[in-house]
Amino acid sequence: MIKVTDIHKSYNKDTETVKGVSFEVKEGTVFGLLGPNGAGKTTLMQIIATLLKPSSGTLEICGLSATSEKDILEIHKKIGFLTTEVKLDPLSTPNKLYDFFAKLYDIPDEEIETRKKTSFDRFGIGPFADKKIVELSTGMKQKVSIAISLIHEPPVVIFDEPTNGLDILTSKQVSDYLLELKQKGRAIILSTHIFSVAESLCDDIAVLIDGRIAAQGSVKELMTQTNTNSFEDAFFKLYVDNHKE
Amino acid sequence: MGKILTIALWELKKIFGNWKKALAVFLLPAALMMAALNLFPMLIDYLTTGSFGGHKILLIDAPDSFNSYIDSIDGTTVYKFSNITSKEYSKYSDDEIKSLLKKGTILVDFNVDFKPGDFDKEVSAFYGGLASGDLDTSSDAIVFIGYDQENPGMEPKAEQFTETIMDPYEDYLLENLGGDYASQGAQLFSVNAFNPVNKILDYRSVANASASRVIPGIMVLLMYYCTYALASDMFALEKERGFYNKLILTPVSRKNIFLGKLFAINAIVTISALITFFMMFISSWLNHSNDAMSLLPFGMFLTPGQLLIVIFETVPCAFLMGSIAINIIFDSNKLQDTITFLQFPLVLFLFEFFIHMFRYTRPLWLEYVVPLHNTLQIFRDVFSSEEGFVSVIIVAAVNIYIGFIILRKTLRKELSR
Repeated sequence: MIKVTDIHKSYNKDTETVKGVSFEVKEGTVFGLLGPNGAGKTTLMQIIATLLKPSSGTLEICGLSATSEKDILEIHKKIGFLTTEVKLDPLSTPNKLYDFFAKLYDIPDEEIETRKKTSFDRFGIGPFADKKIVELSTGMKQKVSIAISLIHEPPVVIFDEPTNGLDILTSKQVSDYLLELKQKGRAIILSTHIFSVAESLCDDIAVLIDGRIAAQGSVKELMTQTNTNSFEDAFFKLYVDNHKE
Repeated sequence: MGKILTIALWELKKIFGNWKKALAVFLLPAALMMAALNLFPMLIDYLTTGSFGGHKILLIDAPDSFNSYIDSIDGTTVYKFSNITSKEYSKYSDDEIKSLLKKGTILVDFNVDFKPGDFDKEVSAFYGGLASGDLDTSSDAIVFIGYDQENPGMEPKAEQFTETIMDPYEDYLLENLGGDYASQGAQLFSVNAFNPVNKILDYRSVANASASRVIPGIMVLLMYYCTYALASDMFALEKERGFYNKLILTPVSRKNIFLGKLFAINAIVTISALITFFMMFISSWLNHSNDAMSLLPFGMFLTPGQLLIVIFETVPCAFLMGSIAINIIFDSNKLQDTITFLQFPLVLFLFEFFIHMFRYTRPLWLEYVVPLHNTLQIFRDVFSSEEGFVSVIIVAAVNIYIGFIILRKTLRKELSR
C-alpha cells in the first residue's frame, strides 16, 4: 500500500537529512519508525505525507506516485496525517473545525453529522464540541486532531509521535484506536521514540539513525539481529554501532 | 471555485466571529488615523508656537462695530479675542511683541491712516460719500493683521482669519454703517453669499485639494497594515502552528488554498479601506472649526463616479499587497523574520505618505506603472478631479498582473518544497 524506494532529502549541499530510505507497508499492518531526536523521522514522515518533496527516490501510495503533481490531490484523499506539531485554530471549536474539513474533503452534507457523531462519541469529544480549542486540555486537543485527520476514513494513516505529551489514559486511548484502525485494514506508519508503544503496536519497525535505516524487522527480529534480550537494548546497540559523531 | 469559497468563508467567519479581531481590522486603523489627523494641527501648533492651538487674536483699538459683530457670531468661531488699546499696546517692548507673535497670536490693529482714530466714523463717512454719489471718495480706515512671518504655519492661519472673520465683517460694516449706501442694495450684487451650491463647491475645492495630499497615502498605508495583519494571521501564524500543513493535506490544491485566503484578505481589506474612507469623509464634514492647518478641511466630497474608481482601484491594490505579503511569508522560515520582513513595506508606505503629503506636482506618466505607488497616484488624481480613463485601467491592470506574477512565483517555490 505504501512503497518507499531509496528516498533522499537534503535541504542544502552539505546536510543530507534522509539517506536512501526504502521500505514497504502493507494494509492491516503498523510500521514503526524509531529513532533518536534529529534522526530524520519527522522529515521522512513529512515526505511520506507529501508535505515535503524528496530530493531523489520514489514514493507510491495506493498505487499513486507521490512525486507526480497530478496524483497528489488523489493521494491526499487516501492519507490521514497526524502530528503533535499541529495546533488547531485556538478560537475555533471542534464542531466548526470538523464541518470545515468535511467540506474540504467533499463529504456529503447528510453524512457529515453521522460521521461526526460516531467520531466524537468514540473519543468523548461530544461535551466539548462547542468549546473553543484554547479551552480544551492537551489530550482533548489531540483527540480532536485525530478526529479531523481521519474525517475522510483514509486507507493510509501516518501518525508522527501521536502520544507525545499525552497523559497515560489518553495515550492508551490513542494506542487502542490505532489497533482498531489496524484491524480495519488500514496501513499505518507510526513514528515514536517510546519503546513500549513501538513494541505493543508495530508489526515491523525500522530503526532510523542519522537519516539511514540501521535495521528493520519485528521486535523479535531486531533483538536477534543485535544479540540482545530486550528491545531497548537492541535499539541502544544499533545506535552505538551506527551513530557517527 | 467551491473550495476557494469554502476557504474564504472560513477565514471571513474567523474574523467576523471574533469582535476583537474585527475591531482591530476594521475600525481601529481608521479611528487611529482620524485621531492622528485631528491631532496633527494641534501638534503643528505646539511645535511652532509652543502651545496647543487656541487661536488667540489680540484686537488693538477694536471699534464698537467689530465688538458687536463678534458678539453676533459668538459661539460659531474658534477664535479667542482679547482687546487692548493702542496706548496699552505701545507699552509692549519689541521682545514682548515678538514673544506674543511666536506663541501664535494674531494682532488685529484697527486704525485710521496708520494712527489711532475713530475707525467706525471713518467707515461711515466713506459709505456716506459713496451714497451721495461722490465716486472719488476714499477711506483711510485700515485693519492691519500681524503674525509671525517666520512661522510657516501662521500665514495660512492669518489668511483663514481674514477669510472667515474679516471678509464677513466687511459685509457687517456695510449693513450697519452703510447708511443710505446699504439701502441702495449694494450687497445684492454678491452672488455667492446666497448660493449654497457655490458655497459647497468652494469648500469642496479647498477640502479635496487637501485630501488629495493626505487621503491617498493614508488609504494605501492602512490597506497594507490590514493586509499585513491578515496575512500574518492567515499564513504566517498558521504555518507556525502547523495548521497550514493540515490544510494542504486536504484534496484542495495549494493554488486554491492561496486564492481562498487571498480572496478573504481582499474582501476584508477592501471593506476596511472603504470604512477608512467613510470615516475620513465624516471627519472632514465634522471639521467645523476648519483650522487652517487641518489636513482634512470641511467639505470633502467625491462624485459617485469618483467613488467607484476608488473602489475599483482598491481591489487590485489589495490583491497585489496580499501577493507580496504571502511571498514574504513563504520566503522566510522563521516567524520572527517573517514579521520583520513584512514590516519593510509598511515603512516604505509610511515614507511615501509623508513624501506625498508635501508634493505639489502632478504624477509623471511613468508613475502609473509603478505597482502600488500607482494606486496612490490614481487616488490623488480622483481627489484632484484629474482622473483619466486610461490611467485608471493601466493602474488596475499593472497591479493585477504583477500580483499574479508574484503569486505564481510563490506557488512554484512552495510546490517545490
